[in-house]
Amino acid sequence: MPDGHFMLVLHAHLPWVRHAEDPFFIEENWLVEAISESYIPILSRLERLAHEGVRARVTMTWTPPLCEMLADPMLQERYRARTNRLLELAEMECQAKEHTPFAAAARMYRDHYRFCLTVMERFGGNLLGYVRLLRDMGVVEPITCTATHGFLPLMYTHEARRAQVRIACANYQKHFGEQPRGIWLAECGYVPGVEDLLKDAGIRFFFVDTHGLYFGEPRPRYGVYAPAYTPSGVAAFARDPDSSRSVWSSESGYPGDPLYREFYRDLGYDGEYNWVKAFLHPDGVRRNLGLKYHRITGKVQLHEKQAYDPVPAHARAMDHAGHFHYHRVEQAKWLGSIIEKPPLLVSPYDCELFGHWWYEGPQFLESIFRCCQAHGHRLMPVTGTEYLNEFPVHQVVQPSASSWGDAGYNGVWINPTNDWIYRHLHVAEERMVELARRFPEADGLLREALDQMARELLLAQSSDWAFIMTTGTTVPYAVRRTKDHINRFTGLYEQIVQGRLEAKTVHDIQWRDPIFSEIDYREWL
Amino acid sequence: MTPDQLTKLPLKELRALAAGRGVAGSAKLGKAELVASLSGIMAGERREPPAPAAAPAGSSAPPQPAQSWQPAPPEHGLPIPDGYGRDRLVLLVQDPSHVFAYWEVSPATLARVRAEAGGHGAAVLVLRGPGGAEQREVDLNGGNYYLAVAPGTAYDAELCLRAADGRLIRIAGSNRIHTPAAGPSWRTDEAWMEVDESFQDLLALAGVPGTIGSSMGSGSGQRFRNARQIHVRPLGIEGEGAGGTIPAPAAAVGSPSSMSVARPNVETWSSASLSSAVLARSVAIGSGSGSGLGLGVGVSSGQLLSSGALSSRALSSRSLSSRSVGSGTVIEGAAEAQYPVEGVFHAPPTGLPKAAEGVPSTAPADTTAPAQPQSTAQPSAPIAPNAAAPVPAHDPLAFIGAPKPASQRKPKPSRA
Repeated sequence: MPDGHFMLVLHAHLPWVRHAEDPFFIEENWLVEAISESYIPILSRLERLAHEGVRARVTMTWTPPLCEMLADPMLQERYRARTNRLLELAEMECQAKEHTPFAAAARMYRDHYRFCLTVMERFGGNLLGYVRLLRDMGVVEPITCTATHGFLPLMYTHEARRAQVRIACANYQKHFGEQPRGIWLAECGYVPGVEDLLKDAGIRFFFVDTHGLYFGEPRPRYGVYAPAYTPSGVAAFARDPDSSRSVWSSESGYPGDPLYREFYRDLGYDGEYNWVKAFLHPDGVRRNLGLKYHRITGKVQLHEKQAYDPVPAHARAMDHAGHFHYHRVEQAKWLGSIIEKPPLLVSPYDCELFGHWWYEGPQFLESIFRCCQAHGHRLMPVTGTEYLNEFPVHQVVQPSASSWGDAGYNGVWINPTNDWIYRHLHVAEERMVELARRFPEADGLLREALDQMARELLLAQSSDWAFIMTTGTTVPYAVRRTKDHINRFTGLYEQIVQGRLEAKTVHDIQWRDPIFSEIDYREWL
Repeated sequence: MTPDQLTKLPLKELRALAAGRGVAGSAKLGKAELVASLSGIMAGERREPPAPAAAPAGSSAPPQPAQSWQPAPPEHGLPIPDGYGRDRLVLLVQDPSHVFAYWEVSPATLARVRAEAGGHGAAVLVLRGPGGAEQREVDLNGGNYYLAVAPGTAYDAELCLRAADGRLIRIAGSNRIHTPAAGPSWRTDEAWMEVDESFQDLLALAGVPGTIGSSMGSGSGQRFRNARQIHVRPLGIEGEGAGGTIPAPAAAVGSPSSMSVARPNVETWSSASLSSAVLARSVAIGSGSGSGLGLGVGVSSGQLLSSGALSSRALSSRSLSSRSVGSGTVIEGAAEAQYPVEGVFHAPPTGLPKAAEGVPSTAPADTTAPAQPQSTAQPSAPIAPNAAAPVPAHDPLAFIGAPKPASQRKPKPSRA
């Protein structure tokens, strides 16, 4: 009997970014970086664990936009091309840095890009093949997310929320060949009533933030250390704050260790301009390339950072995993004495933390599972479905409206930087329902137009845009995306209601936003 | 950046830029030197037109990109309507203590209500909560407001013009919203459920008619098109004297969770009463366990979560095995089974509020130009649901530790 159960949840998400009209679109690099730095390292380490007989379990969100991008041939080709370019650069770097303190890191990047290309080759360019393989091996439980990572609490109509859930399930069916058992609500954005949509879609579990369950009705007997059933029978797992804190805290969290790789010293900025220029975007502006040669070193200025050495850094990650495991076991034992059953520790993280922000993160994750094994599984890794199958009896609690955003509610997605978007999104929701009801049996060009309107609405609803407007990173891009999708939606709407639908317009917009080929506008009926 | 632009930056920022580009000793350089160094560096970085075609054969220079590149479309995005020519007022929850309101008023309506008000009138937002209605003066052209409200409370609003004689002439009404809880519930009664998928599969294989509610029929169309049917079975309500048709199990004696809380009626765990509990919950928290918010990892939490009684109670998960339940037998040690044991499928609850009741408006589109929306943050005095209910002065989340700040998990900063 374990002291506790450990549910690692990795949320892999990127907003749909695909610009066929521009061969060197900067934001498409998000996908390239995430694949090379986060997804491939994590998946390959999980496969290695499985082959060595080490029990590993990850409940992993693969959001619909991310799945669509991973499966898109144009983006696959762009990944291949970009990674080949980076491999060229890495080979040049290996030669140039041969007898310097940076030599080990240079070889590391070269070997890594080669490895990434072989992985993509193995799965025909579609990384989802790797996910399916690990699913079949019982290591990864893929779950879905709202269709375009839409933030449900700020949607106006029931139909819009329902569509985000249904379309997600249909898309998951397309990529994984079965219906999803679990869902990650975008940002854990939950309001009472959502569980009914999930029940109708056949989903068994979802996630809320810590206070979503603690502030629920009635009080949860086991706190967040067991899931609760919502009245509809769908289970809600709530985040354990202790395991999150040890990783996320910018003060005392693991990723800030001086040996780890420093994110903000990158060859794109540090390298001699003529050396790196050919590998930058054609506009010539210096940006991150992903080759980073310095370690955090401590609280020092950027230019004082020391050379990065992969070997001690990865050894440190193993130490941190041991530390994490030890504390989880102690936490489990102590909780178990209070609640008289082994607690479940739910540890959700953004997947990109491991590998992209924290370069040694994937090593940390692998080592956690090795520690669990080495200590006789006193901390037992489980997935969502596994846990519910083994423990089918839980308290009924109505979770409270909540999110895992800053301050725990909706503030990140509605504040003066982004509140202007909602009058447009809400009208678009209503118009989508209006036209779905007016033309419940459309076909031909009208059907294409209505389906494309549905795509534009979903893309405008990505919570990423409002999030970016709040954090102030690539705000112009987020504003542009919101406006472009509202513009296209409105244009199609007006053409339809005024009876002057043009094939040219529909086909141009289809070419620009070809997400969700299987979409059906009648999900808004 | 040009030297002129650099000169306008504050010294601290110049130092940071210089350090980022590896300028030695930038921490000690004066402004003029920093501008000079940075101008030189940045001149080398300035955009150059892309070179055409590939490098000559045998050259060791890195190959240039072969395609010609066009700049991206304008960053400000395609045009969108300023308004939609209809009268509407929408409330959105921001957090337990704040609500966001936006509205649009068509000129025709504005003219009509102004006429009714006798020419002039102050625009007011009437915010209605359980404690009554409150009027807040607003700028009709503002269109975006943030309002301070109370947690765990239902509100709706009306946008009106207030005539000189105090009459309110309605312009638009809003949806109904519920602010979230800001702390734990006072309710500690419990209900338990078992969800067992395999039982449903077995039942389906047996093909026994009539044992499953009609809503489970696989041919019932769109609604359950892709649903994996879930078997839901209520196990009864823990606690004393529930009354009604679902008796509590016998073992619940003196459990800490049952103290001093009036036991609600039978359908405690059903959605309808839960929803009313959600709506009616008062802000005041405390059921005798100290601050009432002691759900953190301190000793006080032990009293709430522990139960010497739990392990002896028939409904603890350790005393149940999924197998015995799956075969449809009565749970051992459970109370005399007067609650349903067969495959009762509970239809999705209807009583729960939809947080944004959105019935799509069928108002005809008004093609005249609507008001310009502008952001105006204007917090005003909160409405308490009950004047006597105290508002907690401390941070209700302090005992948990703050939910993970978004800033620490930014997935995509500084990409450009």
